[in-house]
Amino acid sequence: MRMLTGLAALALLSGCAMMGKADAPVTMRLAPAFAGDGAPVLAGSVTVSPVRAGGALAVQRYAYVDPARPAEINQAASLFWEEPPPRLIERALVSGLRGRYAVVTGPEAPVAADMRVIAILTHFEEVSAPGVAQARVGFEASVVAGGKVVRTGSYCANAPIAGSTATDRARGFEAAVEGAVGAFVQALAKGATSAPSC
Amino acid sequence: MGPDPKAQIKWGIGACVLTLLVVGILAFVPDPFFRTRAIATTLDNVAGIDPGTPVSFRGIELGKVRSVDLDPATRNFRVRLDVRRDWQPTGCTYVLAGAANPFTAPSIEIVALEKADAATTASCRNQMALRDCAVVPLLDRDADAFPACRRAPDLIASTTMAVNEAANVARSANQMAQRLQVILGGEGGGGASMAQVADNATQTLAALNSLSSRLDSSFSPGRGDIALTLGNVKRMTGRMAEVDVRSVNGILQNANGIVGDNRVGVGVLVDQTARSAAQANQMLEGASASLVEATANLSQMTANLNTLTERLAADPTYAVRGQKYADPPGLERGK
Repeated sequence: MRMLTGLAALALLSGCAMMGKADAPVTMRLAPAFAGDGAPVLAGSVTVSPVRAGGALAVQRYAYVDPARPAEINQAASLFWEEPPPRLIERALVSGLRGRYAVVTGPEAPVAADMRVIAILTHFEEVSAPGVAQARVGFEASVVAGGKVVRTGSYCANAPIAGSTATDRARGFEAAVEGAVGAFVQALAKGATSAPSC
Repeated sequence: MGPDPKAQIKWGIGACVLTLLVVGILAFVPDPFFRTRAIATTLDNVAGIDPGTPVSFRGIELGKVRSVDLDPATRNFRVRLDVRRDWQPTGCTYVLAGAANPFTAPSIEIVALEKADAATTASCRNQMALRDCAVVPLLDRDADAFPACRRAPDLIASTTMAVNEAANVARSANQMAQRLQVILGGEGGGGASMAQVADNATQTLAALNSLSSRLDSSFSPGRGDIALTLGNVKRMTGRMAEVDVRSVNGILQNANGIVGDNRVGVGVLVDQTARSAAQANQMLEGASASLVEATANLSQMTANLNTLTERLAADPTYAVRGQKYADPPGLERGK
């Protein structure tokens, strides 16, 4: 009996030792910048509708994909975005469009506009191959004007993640967001017919 | 020989007095036909409960609150309830006072525990303690006085009410859109001015958006009020057995559908009135944008609730244990 109790105590102790301490969460802020390319600001107003996303893309927990298993989305234990990715893309779309259009509003101001941008987030994840991790951001966008769809397309960008820290990852995603949103803004402003793809 | 005038006057006065008496009894005597009986309880905070508040028991309305009186000595309230005469208490009966919360009106419910729970005073008190019931000392000590507890805010019930409210707001928006169609179609607006209708529509949609945002925030796993603290999540897990989450989900989907219908309706209106007054067009475009946002919020909320429900159904300890996650390979953490 005494031996059994001793064994149970040992098992309990080893169990406790294995549990260890939980990692503190790291929250990452994304601040994509859209520098104007000197092109004239276009007249007209644009409003961005709430960006939709489903599943792992809709939450603040950082998502990553192993290229060997591209259909499986993993979620990080301790990395989080400051806002859910759909909100980040929403804000990036507003910032990006403000560089080319005179009046741009987001979903917080539900007002009438000449054009409305409706986007669905399709990718917002790290593709984490050893040594060559990349941030991938992609969305599908439709533009509605005068009650009719005037443009649809998929916009996507990859950007390298230069280091192994959370900040390096945030910088990589900033570049990818700038690439994807920048491509959309350029296509809308210039009236390009084909959308870039990853 | 004719009738005696004095006797006639006497009978007339008698009939009048009798009629007045009957009317007086019917008007001023509570329960003149003795269909109910009074029970009493004591509350330290009535939270908006007043005479006329319905009293329910296991899903039916059993009676109403007759009176609420402040006891000057204890500063507690003596609350008298009129309940159906055929209702009988068990050995462990208490009153749950539903405190008002942002979405539900104050309510009173009678709870009667059965069998072993009601066998002894100790078992009864134990069961009440298990249900987080802090009893207020009774002002009355007779057999028809029952202890009262304050009910903790019921998140699911509150949400159901809130979603119903959202559905009502969405219905109002739909009615406004139809009204606008009548006005814009030149079939007579019944005197309503465009500015007034636009103002009403803006307020309704603002209310809907605010409500749906709040609900979305409350139901986002790991972010909202419900999932934020372990205590709340545990309480919610416990309530899963008592509350039909599917019906809440149904209401959510219904509300979402109504908002979706509105959006389509407003979209059609925008199309039809493309050449009408600029003010109307602008207002309808704004309404359409608001409904797009409301749809997104409600849809997100439904998805979140679905996720939470499915995870809890698959693994009841999910709320307490959480899910196992792993960081991406090679993540370097700050010291």
